[in-house]
Amino acid sequence: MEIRVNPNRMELLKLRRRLEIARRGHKLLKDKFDELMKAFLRLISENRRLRAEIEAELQLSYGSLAIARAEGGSLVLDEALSVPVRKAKVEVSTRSVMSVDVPKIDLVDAGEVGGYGLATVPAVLDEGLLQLSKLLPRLIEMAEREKAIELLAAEIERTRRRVNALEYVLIPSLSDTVRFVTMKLDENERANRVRLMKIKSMVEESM
Amino acid sequence: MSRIAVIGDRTSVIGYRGLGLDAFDVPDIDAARKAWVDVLEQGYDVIFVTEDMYGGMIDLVEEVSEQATPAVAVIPPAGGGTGVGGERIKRVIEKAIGTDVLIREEEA
Repeated sequence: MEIRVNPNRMELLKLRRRLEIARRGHKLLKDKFDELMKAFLRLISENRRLRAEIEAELQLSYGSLAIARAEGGSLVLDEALSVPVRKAKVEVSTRSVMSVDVPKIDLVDAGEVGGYGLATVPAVLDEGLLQLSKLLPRLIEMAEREKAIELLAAEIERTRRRVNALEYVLIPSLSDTVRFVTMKLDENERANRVRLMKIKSMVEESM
Repeated sequence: MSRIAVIGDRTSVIGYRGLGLDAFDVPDIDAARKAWVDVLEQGYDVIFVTEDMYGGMIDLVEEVSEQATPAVAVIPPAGGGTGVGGERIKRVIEKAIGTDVLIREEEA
């Protein structure tokens, strides 16, 4: 597809410049895309392992909690856990992966598990909570990674669309137009030359 | 500094409450959707949602997927997971790459 322009040298120069810039932009974006993809793939394979581990271990601690519930009754359990002494917080900063801002989440953990009466609460509850508390840093890590995956995925999609737009639309249409203008200029040149030759022969004949 | 929210049924989230996370125990999906709105308003940066509740609020979770925070992770409920959380990430991957064949190959 060509862009409609006046076929003259000025336009030709402008078009060539635009084509050059488009090609350079395409190369840059393509490099960015490849780099994003590399980071993305790394994140994915790590995350898949992490999630499988976490889901398996989570079942263990859920199991302990279920036993605690069965032994002590839900009322006791709810009461024991309703006012935790421990406060888990997170500190969120951002880091940049290929100019995509992804959150970096650090767990700020305070206090020991507990704060409930040891007499009424089944001992297995401690175990369940301990397992869960060991899992917490990795849970947070998983949340951080999955967020990063989401953000990178969106950026990858955007970049791919840009790369494709340049590669399959803008660059071909620009180079088609450059060709059209070049041909038109060449054609004008030839027409002019023929006209000159014709005039020259007419002048020679009349002499 | 921000706190961590957990949305799910009572049995699933009670343990997290013991760890000092803010557990929103909800009996059903409608309550979970309401809890989600609260959680967003209160500015939690990390939110865990159990698989069964996530199933009923995918649209809500999608809304924040392109923001830097909150980071949402789907966790299996007490009754055992069905892999919904992994599926969610797989969909994201498919959206980005167009396939996840590549990833499966890499893992093999």
